[in-house]
Amino acid sequence: MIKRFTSFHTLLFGCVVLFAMLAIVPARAEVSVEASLSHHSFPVNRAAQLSITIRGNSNSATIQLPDVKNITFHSRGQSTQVNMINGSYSSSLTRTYLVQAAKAGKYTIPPIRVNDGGKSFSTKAINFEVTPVGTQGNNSTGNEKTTVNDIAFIRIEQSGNHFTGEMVPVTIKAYFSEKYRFSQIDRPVLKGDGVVMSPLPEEPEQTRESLGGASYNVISWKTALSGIKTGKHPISFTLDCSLLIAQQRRSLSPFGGSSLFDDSFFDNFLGGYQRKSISLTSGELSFNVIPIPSEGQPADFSGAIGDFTMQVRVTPIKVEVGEPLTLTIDISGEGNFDRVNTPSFPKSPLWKTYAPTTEFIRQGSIFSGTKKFEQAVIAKTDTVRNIPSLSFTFFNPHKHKFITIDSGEIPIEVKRSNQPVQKQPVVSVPQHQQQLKTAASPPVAEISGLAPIHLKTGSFHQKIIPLFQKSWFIALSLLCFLVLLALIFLRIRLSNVSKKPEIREKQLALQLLTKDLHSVEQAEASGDSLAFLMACRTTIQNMLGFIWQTEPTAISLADIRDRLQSDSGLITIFEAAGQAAYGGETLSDKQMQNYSTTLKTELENLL
Amino acid sequence: MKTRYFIPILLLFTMILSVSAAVSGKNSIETRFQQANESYSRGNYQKAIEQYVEILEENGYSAAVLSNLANSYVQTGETGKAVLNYERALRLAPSSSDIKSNLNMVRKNNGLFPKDSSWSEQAIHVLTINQWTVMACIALLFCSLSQFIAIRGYMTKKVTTGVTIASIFIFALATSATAFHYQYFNPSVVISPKARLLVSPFASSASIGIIQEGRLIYPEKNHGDYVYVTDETNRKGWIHFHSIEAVCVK
Repeated sequence: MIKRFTSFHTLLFGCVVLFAMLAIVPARAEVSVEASLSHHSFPVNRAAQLSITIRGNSNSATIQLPDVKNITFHSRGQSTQVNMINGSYSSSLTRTYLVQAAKAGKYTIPPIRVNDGGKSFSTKAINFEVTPVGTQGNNSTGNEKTTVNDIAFIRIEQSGNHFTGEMVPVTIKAYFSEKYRFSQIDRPVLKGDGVVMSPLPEEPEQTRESLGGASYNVISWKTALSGIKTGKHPISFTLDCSLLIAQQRRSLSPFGGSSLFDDSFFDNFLGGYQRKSISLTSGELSFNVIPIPSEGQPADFSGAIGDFTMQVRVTPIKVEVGEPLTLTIDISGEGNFDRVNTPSFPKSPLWKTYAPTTEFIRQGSIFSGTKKFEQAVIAKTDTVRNIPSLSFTFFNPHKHKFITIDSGEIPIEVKRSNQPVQKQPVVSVPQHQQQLKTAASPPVAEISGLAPIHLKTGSFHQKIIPLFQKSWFIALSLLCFLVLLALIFLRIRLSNVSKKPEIREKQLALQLLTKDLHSVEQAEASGDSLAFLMACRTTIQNMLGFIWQTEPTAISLADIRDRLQSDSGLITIFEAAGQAAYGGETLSDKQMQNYSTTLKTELENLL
Repeated sequence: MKTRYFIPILLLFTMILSVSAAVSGKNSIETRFQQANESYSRGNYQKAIEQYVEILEENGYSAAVLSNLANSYVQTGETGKAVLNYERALRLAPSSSDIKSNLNMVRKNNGLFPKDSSWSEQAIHVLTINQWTVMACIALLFCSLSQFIAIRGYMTKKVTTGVTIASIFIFALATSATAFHYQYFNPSVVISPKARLLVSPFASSASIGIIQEGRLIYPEKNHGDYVYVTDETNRKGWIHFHSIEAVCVK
């Protein structure tokens, strides 16, 4: 069921598509041909655009351009337009050519023949005039009819009277027709005397504008003009650039006919361009410069022209005598900031002033922003109560009058300094150095209050480092630490010993044993058997006394026999010692060696 | 016989030569120092600067030479370099009242006021970094001494324990103060009169504002020719490395 339903809809859709295709197939429309020229009058260094439009179904139409003396046609490509209005389909093909003349004069393009499907069509003849170079330039009066006819031109809008030194904002606009290609566009140059132009911005503004129905790419430079001497000064602007003219290519077909790439469409990619230098010149402007009125000109007028505001700040407002105050003066607005000077601080014995620092902070255009002055001033006495009023005078060109801005007095608090006044430094030079000095060379110190200079170099250091980074100090510190650690260790150990007396006793017993064994070895070495046996006896008594916690000298042979095993070597040695003491028995070296070994082994076993 | 005396005579001769060379070298430095001082006294500050710099380049840093050099810079109006050399001199002779007063005067005359210190910072600055270091070392010695006395039993345990605890406390305090001081031991000084703090480390970057010549700044990081710094008033920004110079050259 589903399959049947799907097949039915596929069939229905196919029918609809077929019907639609049949419906929009155009009937073979009547072919018509029309030719038009963009400009009927143009200078010899420029070109007009010739458009040949073929309406109707004419995909295979060929155009035979006529030969006109001194006239060259450069193909600029073709465009196709397809319209479908209320189901009615129409198409048109437009081929475009640049028409350039070798010299000025009146010309006629005869009817152009268009062959299409064996039929021939003709356009109407076109008359036009080519004028000499420069007779058709644009001017600043804004003759729109003329400007629209140009492919590129300069336009500036500026008029009126201006004062000497006044910064007059100007926007220089260069218009380039979108239909042409340009390259190597230089910056505009001012031609004329008595007027100077501010530096042009590095990156001009780029926009698109439409004039008289034609579209232009517009490059705008915002700058300022300034008259440097009075009078009417004719000025103009010129701009150099290159116009790229498309080159028509030769047929690429090896068989003489037209190849696929012979179409004018490929001219843009394959044909290349001819570079033609052109110079655009604006119309002449009259820049009228008038002098600044001398009447009523304030004495402190420094030549600043524009519209400004002034703001004065002081920090800190509470100081001691001799402490500097920072005076910040901001002059903001629009005008010739190069002539804006620091409002002068009134000369007074109460104040010491320093040269101000200057900084210009641009805001937008080159003649608008804030000029910031920072000046250090020092109150010499505590009687000072205010920063005196500062004034700034400028000429406002719009109001045609001088304007003086006063900051007004700024209250401050100056206290008497608590520090004693330091005396002028006196440089004492040693006796042998004084001989070198000339008689008329007293010590000079421009800045007073400095402590005297040093007369001995003192020690030299290869590096400026703190004490704790010096190697000798690091070594000393490490030593101190090691000593401290050793002492702490010792203290802990002693503390432990004092808490457990048996450890101490054992240590003492071991020390005594070591001493006794040393005596034994000494006696053995000397070969004195009696001394050897006495030393052995003392060693045994001391050791057993420590172990049995009894008086060592009280230990007898009977005690040893009772408490040690019967086969203990110590009993034998002890017996031999007794016999030697009372019977005078002597031992050979070998016996002494055996007894010594037995003694050490047995005592080791006891421990 | 001859051989027996040859080596001691040779050693003696070498020693005399070395001592005389050292003495003559020292005399030569002192003479040149006096000549530089004379240039200063005559008001030829530029020449004095050249002479002082020459002495420093050949022999290393000396508080006296640095201080005199700084005085010369004060006279020529080079505030930044004056402050830089006073700061260097103070690192070597922190208790020199002459150097301190000169530096304070230069800072005051040029509006280079430091930010207000807290009471704890003021307390730490009562002693210099080296004095705190020595105090830490002395505390260590006292601690060792108290241990020794405790072992020997010259004093009661209570007394030695008290001395040990006090020594440890002083050691900790002095070490902390040394560490605090060390943070500010090697600042840089703005030596360019028109230095600006920038938002980014590029010449075309927006400016935060002018930073005064002679202002102490603390570098944090570098990027190309620019250094990210914090100044005494806690302003932060990028400054060209040519505009600043470190107090302690590494």
